[in-house]
Amino acid sequence: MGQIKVKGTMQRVAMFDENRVIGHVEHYSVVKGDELVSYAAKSAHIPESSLRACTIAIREAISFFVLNGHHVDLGKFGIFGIRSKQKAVTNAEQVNADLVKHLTVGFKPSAEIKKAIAAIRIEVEV
Amino acid sequence: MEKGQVNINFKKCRIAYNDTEKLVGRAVRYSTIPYSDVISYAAQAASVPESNIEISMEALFDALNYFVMNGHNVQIPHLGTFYLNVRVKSTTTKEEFVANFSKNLRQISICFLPDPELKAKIASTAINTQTDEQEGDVISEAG
Repeated sequence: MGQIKVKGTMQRVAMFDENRVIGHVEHYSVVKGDELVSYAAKSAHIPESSLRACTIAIREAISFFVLNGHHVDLGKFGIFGIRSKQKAVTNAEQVNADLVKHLTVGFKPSAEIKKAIAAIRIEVEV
Repeated sequence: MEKGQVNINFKKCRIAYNDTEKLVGRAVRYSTIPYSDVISYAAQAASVPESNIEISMEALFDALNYFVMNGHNVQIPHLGTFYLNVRVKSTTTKEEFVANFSKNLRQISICFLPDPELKAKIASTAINTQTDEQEGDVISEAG
């Protein structure tokens, strides 16, 4: 079970035009790819070099499928897919690629991950 | 890597806020690639046994889970960063924030922020648009 710290800070909220306490997750550190691979290799007893090569292959597979309009199911982790934001129009003649304002890669966590998130212990700090 | 291509399909939808009918676009999902196919593809591309990829994937995602669930941001190079986000109702005082935290907690979610390299790849993706009446016809292309 994980544990996180939520910090409440006083900030101006434009909607209410007053200072209010806003909560956000305290991020302890940014774990880089190398650290992640080292940790995973140690805990699963796999050679680091092999894991590094596999990580690159997995990453390339994800971006290849996603950038070609497929959703990628990563089992107990979640699903990656392309998401778009575009302007709505009134008739079919107006439809063109320029209406697409934003394309991005989205991630939807699996039910297992959602369950793990729900079990996280939260420490509140102000 | 080859340049990607996505289809955006525009479908007639009722817009509730001004009660009009408009063509609203959505990225077409060709298929959902199952876990086993991702493993096969990665194994072929890297010329390594499928079992290696499978074990690596398990190890990698277990490690990722461990760090993210403990409040760290996890950066996978060339792919993106995973982190936890919390949505909690704001309060006027710090005491109220602490006292009513569980009541005011709306959602804790895992977020994904694509890496600049992935964003550049997305930007160079070809976009095809189509409407329901002209299904399969490419109206215009960009990218």
